[in-house]
Amino acid sequence: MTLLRAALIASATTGCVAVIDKSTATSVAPVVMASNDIGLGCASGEATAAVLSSFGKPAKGKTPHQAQVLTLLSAGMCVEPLAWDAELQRGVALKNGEGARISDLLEVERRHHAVAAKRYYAAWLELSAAWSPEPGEGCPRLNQKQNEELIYLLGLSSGVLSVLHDQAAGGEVGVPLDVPRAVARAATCLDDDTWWGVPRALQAAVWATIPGAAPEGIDPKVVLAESAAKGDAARVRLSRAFQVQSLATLGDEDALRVAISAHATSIESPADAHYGLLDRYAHLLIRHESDKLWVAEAGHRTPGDHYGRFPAPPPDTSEGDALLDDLLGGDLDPAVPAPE
Amino acid sequence: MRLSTALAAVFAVGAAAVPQQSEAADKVLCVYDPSGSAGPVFQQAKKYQAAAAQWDVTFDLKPFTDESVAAADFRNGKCDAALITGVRMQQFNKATFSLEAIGLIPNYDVLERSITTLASPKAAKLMVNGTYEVGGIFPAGAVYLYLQDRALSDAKDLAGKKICTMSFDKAANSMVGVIGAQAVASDVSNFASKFNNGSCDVAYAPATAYTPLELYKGLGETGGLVRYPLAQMTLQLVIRDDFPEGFGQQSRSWSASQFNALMPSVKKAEAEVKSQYWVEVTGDKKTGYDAMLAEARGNLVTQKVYDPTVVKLVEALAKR
Repeated sequence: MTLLRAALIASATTGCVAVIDKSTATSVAPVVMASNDIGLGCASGEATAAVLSSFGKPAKGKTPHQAQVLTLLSAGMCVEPLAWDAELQRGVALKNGEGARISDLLEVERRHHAVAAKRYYAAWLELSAAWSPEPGEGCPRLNQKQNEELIYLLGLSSGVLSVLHDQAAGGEVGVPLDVPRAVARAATCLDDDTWWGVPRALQAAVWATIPGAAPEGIDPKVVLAESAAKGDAARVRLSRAFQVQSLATLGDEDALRVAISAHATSIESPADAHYGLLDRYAHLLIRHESDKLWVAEAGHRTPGDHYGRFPAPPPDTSEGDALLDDLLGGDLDPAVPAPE
Repeated sequence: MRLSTALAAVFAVGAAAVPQQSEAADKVLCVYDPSGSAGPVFQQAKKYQAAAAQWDVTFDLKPFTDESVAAADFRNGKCDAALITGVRMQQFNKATFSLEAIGLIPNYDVLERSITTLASPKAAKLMVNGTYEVGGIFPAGAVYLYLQDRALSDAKDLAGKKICTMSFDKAANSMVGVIGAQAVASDVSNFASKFNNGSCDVAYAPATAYTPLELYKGLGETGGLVRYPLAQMTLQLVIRDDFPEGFGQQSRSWSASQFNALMPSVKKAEAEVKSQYWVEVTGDKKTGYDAMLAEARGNLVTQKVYDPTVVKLVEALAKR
């Protein structure tokens, strides 16, 4: 944060928002991205987002937009796990027949989603202000020496996340529902191989859930699987997270289990040291989907030593199957355990 | 370090000896939402799930992005209940399907009174059809005509025009015949692209489709939405006959009570349509639409597609 402080002071004296943007993208972002401690990254975002918006000429909309994409996205990451936690608690209450608690937990979850949506949408708006043309209306000139492609990628991710969280919040924030299509178009501005398959994964995630968004003849699930494999190979597994989240959204539980198991196997290889934060964030997203499956089936979250495995379905009570089950020892789950 | 605390809690709870329960959720509710579990219908289903838990029925929610699959899975017994659009309800309950009859419900006030009336215990008989029972009806927005050329706003102008028509929607196909227009077979996944690329001159959809499907691109500089509800889109919950005694009525009463909570999102979507696009229909034009839709509706009652009791009931409510 020393670097950020220096950048802020430098900018305050020169009044030049470009200094903050450049310093954030080239000095701060690499440090934040290299950490795998989401808590530290998000706390930094929460602490600096409001301050950053006061630099430059806020009244004229001239603030360090690129820097704010990063800080607001990070700040959104602080709230997201709170919504997840409430969702899982709701699942446990449902499983345990605690009917009276469920409405309350649903409202707790909704409120956290609203805050997350607000922050991610703010990051999206900063992205829209940072470059011209606006996302989805053409490709801006991104200076890769100044790490601008990374900021652009994070801003696009914020756009998708803002819609997902706002929908879960009942539309409280009012994120426009055409943002995902804009993200899908803007993702073509980034090289898919350079960015671990994330641009195509973002596109496919949008195609999978918006009627008619997919180009003719393209199966979004196939694209998501290819992107996930690309992310696994690069050890920045954000594409796998988008795949898992999309499969959960589509209700394809079989494919979801396979994708989570693949992630459990993949994380035996450590993350790319430069992007530990994104890989860890992906892990948390995927583990949440695993937790939802565990809670629905077993009434508790994924045990640490069972990540990549799933609780066996309820035993079939028919006599023949029960006997077979008994003879086979009752363990019908073929998945191989993977370390947390 | 809120996140660290939260993560610690996740691990702590995960590792704790929470007693493992083997029983699955009591019932499976299959939910159609074009955006899957990320969409607004699924969010509404979560509220329903929370309410039902207080009536001692636990639902496991399953998202479906293909409505025909959701309906088929319900019919085949893979789901104990389904939340689908009214147009798909024809196979399960003709009475509530008829609530979406062409031109039957002119405004949201009549829609609310119709839903409330059908949710009353007196209407319970209409809600049961063999092994199926309707467990609730929710508003999803009036269906409007989207025109590439706003000059076509008179009903008689539509003759010969290409209209994106949902293949499974018999009523709409019948109406296209009455108009003398040409149906372009479409479905939920492709009607917007057909309208936007000019393959259709006309499409029909609620305003909730305007922004997410970018229908403003097809409207362009010359298009418009005719402010005349062709029909009222609804979401309907259908259950089997193996629920606890009285569940269906409890469910219908709760569902009707949600009307006012759901309408703001419908009205917000209508407000998002640029004012320049709305084409007001008054005087002779309105009379023309009234006559055309009444003729199409009458044909469908005669053909026994619509339930005459519900159509008469709603027509009477509309006059009050």
